Amino acid sequence: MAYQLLNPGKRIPLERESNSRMKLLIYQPDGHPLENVLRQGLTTKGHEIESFFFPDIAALTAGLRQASGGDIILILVPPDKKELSRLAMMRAPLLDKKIILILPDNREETISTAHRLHPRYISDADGDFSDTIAVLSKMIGNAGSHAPGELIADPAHG
Amino acid sequence: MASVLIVDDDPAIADILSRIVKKLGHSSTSASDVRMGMDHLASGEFDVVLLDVFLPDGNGLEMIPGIKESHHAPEIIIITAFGDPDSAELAIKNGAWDYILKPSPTESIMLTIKRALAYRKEKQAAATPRLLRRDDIIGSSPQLTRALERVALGASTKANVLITGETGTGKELFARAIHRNSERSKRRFVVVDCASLPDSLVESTLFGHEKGAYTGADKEREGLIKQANGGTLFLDEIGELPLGSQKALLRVIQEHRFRPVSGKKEIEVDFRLISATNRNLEKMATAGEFRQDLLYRIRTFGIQTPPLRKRKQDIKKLSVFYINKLCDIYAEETKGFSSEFFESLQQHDWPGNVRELFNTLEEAMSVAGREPILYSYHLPTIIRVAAAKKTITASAASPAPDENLGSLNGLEAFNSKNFLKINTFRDTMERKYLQRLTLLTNGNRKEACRISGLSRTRLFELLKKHELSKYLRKKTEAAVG
Repeated sequence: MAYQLLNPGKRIPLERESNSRMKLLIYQPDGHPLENVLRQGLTTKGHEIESFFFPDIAALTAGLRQASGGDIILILVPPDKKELSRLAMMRAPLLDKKIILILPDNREETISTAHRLHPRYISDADGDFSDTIAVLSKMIGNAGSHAPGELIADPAHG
Repeated sequence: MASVLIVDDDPAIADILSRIVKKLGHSSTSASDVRMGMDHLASGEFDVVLLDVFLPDGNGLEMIPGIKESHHAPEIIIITAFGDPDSAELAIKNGAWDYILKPSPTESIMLTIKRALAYRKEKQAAATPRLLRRDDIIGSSPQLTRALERVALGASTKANVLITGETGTGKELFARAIHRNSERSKRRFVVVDCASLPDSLVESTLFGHEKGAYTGADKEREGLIKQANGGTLFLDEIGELPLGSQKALLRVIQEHRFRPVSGKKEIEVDFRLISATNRNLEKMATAGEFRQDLLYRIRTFGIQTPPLRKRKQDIKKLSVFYINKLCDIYAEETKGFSSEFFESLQQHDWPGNVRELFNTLEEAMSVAGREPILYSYHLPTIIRVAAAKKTITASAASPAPDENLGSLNGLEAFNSKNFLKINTFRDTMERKYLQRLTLLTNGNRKEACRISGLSRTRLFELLKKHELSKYLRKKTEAAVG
């Protein structure tokens, strides 16, 4: 089984969804390479997943509110330590969500701040995101109530 | 009454000790070898272990570290043969509470056991923290209170904790609470989601890797175990960890050192381990899917999170807490609740536990928008229909006991001295009719009007009069399904 990535790159506003379809909420600066990796790297089949990209924290907060109910996976790509700290400060709306965190650097202080968000996976912005795609794939497989499946990464991205 | 585990391969000695324990008013369990002893320790809660040194499958002294780290960390009294002072010394050095010489007078054995139990009682009273920071763990049901007592105890020890419970019962919250109440609370709480890690990433994520360790490893990476140094490592869904990685993890837990993938140098590490699973690790171990030795190590102290259906009295508190939290996050006015809102929540069995409840509340709040009060019609249809069915089923099973009608099943009511006023009778039957009508039509207003012959306005009036409007589906929902 594999999955369908609906509207990759779709931005707010979100329409309120009454179903419990899985949603990917991605916070990243405009033009970040992860967007292309997600667009190109995920093959579409079967299961429905929606993805929503948010360029700033305010938009992410609004998106979280609108995407309520059902499974949500957050991919957070703060551009620097300051933005990561801002995310850590707003912990409450993020705490119950599954978070994949892409760190801007690997300094001790950055890592400590990152763990305050209790992410399910941490990676760094220097890589090709193949590890992130692999983890995301498994998370989606686990969340699908039937059988685990996989997202198929674009060979170009591992 | 205390519980004593006797580990001795001599049935006569075990029998004597068992009778002494019974005479003291306590219960005992016997094991004839190391393996059986460890099995009992894993599944039961003991206050004292009476431990022989020479056992058929090993030396009892080697069991001491495992016993001290076991579920209940019982006191250990070594049973050693007269003339074997070295064993006695070694036992005490290894942390045994005392030793008994074989043979020994009954009174002497009784005194040693009594002292060990008195010491244990004092130790436990001192160890239990008076205040527990519960954070987001909400509720006051006996089931939750018992679990929180275990959290308090677990936080006060250094033991490895295994949290078990159904999906959505808040195992991670419990793990965080243990960390926040422990002496490591100022250090990192590092989460490893074992279920989300592909097999190929498990070891590099846990242990880190050197540059060039494998294709794509273009630089050195620090593992989560190292990042947890000084703090707490939380292995969520540990049952999903591949067998190969379990061996490597066992070594880290035992030796507090590890080697990154392709690394040449060992790294020393000090972390407190908390694991969680919704799977039956015992069964998995029996089936060869989980290492028995790792299981012994990770479940030194066990905590079970109760399912929401067994603590329904907490639903109201949980709901108020979560809605207030959402209002706070989204800077909205605090919302009120109608009583029927809680009634509907109470009727559901919540197979997805607290997580399902919170998702439902988020949906309700989203539907309610700026409305100041949450009503049951803000809840998802599936919850309201289930609630309606349960209410009506219960009502049908016991014919209107709360309406003081007596039996209406036959003509008895009409022969009764308490003959009903016609309006009371009509109202009751009208209510029953409407309940069955909404159930039959699954809350579809159009269908309800068609079957009953009532106009829409009249149907709404009657449902409102009998406080049954909550069973009617909203227009949009009816259109969908």
